[in-house]
Amino acid sequence: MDTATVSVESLRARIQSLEDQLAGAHERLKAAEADRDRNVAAEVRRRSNVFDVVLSTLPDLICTFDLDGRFTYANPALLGVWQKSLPEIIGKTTFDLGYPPELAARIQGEVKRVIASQRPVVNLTPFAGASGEMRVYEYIFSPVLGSDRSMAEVTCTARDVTERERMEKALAASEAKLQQVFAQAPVAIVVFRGPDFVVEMANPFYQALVQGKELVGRPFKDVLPDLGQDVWDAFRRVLDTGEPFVANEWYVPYDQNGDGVREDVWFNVVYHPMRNSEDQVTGMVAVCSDVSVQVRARKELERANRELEEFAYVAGHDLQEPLRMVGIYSEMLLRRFLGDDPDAREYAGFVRHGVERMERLIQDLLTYSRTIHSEDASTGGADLNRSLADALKTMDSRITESKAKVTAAPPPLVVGDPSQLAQVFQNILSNALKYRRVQIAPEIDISARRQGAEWIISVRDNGIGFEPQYSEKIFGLFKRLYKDQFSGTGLGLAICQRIIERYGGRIWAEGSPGNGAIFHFALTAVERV
Amino acid sequence: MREIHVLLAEDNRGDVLLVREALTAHHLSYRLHVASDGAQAVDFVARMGQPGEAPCPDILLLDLNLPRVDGHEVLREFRRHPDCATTPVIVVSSSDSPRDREKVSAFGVARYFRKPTNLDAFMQLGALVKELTERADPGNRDESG
Repeated sequence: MDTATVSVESLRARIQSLEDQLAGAHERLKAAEADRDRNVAAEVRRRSNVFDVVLSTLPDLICTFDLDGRFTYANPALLGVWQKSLPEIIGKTTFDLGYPPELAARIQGEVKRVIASQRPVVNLTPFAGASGEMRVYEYIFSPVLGSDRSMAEVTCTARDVTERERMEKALAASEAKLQQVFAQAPVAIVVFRGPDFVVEMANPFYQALVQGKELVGRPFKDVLPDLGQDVWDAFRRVLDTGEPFVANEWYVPYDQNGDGVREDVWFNVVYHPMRNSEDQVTGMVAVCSDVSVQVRARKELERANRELEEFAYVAGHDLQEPLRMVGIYSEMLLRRFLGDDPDAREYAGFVRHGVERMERLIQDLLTYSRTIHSEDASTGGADLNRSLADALKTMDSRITESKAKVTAAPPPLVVGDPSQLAQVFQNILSNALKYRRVQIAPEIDISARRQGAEWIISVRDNGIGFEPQYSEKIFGLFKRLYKDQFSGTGLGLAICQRIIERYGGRIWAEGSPGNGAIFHFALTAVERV
Repeated sequence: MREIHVLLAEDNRGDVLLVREALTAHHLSYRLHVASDGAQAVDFVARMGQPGEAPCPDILLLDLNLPRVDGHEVLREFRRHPDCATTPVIVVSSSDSPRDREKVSAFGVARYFRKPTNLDAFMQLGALVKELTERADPGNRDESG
């Protein structure tokens, strides 16, 4: 046997076998490739389905444009807005779909811009779809690049932001309103944050209180280092307890005008805690109004009143002394030197009369000034029963003399001083007896009725009355309507008014000529226990 | 009738004269020592009862509203004197204020006589002095004056 032939034969056989194997492998490979392609296609289809589902269920509006700005796709949401089907819109422009010309042009321009720049464009537009309802949309155009990195398509995603816009607008409007209130409120408002009371915001009124010092962002201690400890304590308490703090006419001296000297200032303040969403107190809003002018004016008035009272009191006493000398020594002159001379007696009578009248005036002035010496003001209750009884007892002889008939319902307990209120009754009764009608016996009725927290006491008479236009004037000092026929100093009702007003009450009168007068006074009721 | 010593602290000469009239009108036998201001009154009180000086008075008539030293001060000095702790005192004043009445009540004031504007009423001061000095037991009194 030729070994070379065997070798060639076997070699061929091996080659054939290898070729077969190669062909098999090639077949398998082709099959595998076909298999893979099938899988990829299936995957692409599957994905596409997923995207289709996603796109169809998204509430956002989605579409694509080709490079000529024509629609190549729109998702069901967008088709719904248009109320069109997909085939109806493919290859159309925004003009074709009947967009308002201005908006249509704008969109076409934006698509062109995306194509040219390969960058997204974001914008906002109102748009009314087929329903006619105007909605606001926020949209973004994005470039889609092909495998060769060149522009392939433009996508657009639009979202209905009508509600958000409406809320933002409402919020902005309400914020603007609040801002306006904050800025224009005629009180000072400042908002503090955190344990160091860092000023978050302060309105112009507050700015004015600190003379334009830098406020916002600074701890309040740096703004007003000279504030009293009581203010810091109040601040701290609001933060610690979460309870609001309220103070009226609070004396808070501080250097207001920046001259290094603390000014006397008074404030009405409300400090209110501010809480975060977890209900923790994180800050405080302070509302303050500067009432220094009012407080100073009141103090000044009080001082002036006190001086006036003191003056009236002293003048009353000092007037009495010389008057006493005139009275007594004119009497002495008459007795010692003039005896029974009728002219002398008449003249002395005039002196006596003048002195007596002056004495009464001074006495009434003293009573008047005493009623306004506020340190004696009693704050307890007064039994008007007792006051009236006292007054009737004092007036007893005059009542009997004038044959007056006095009727009274039992009066109540009120705020006031019993003896001063007896004086009120006495003066009103005295007027009723004095201003009676000729030949008609006086009838006086005293009644009381409850009105809310007050008792209204009314004293009605059947006397000569007065013209209604004088109903306020008669309470004035030295005001006398009937100077000649009736004696009096014109202080009685003024004293009544001072007493009643001193206890926070009111007094007024009604009357008409010939029909008598009614005097009313109202005082706070005290419940019987 | 025993002569009584009356100390009158009064700055108004018109009232001094009226006090004399009132005492005379009630037939009192009296010697009137007048201090025309508070300082004179305090000075009188400091020296009274000593040899060569006026005796302690049987009664003090005191105006509260005195120049230089005020009537309350005079009253305090008077009461401090060992022989005048119970001597009757009439405050003669034109003031009717409850505050003034209260202030002197602590010093054992016998009467508070408000100066009237009427002559007859003023003369009643004499009756008051008579009543108060007669009530005091003469046997217990220092008769050195």
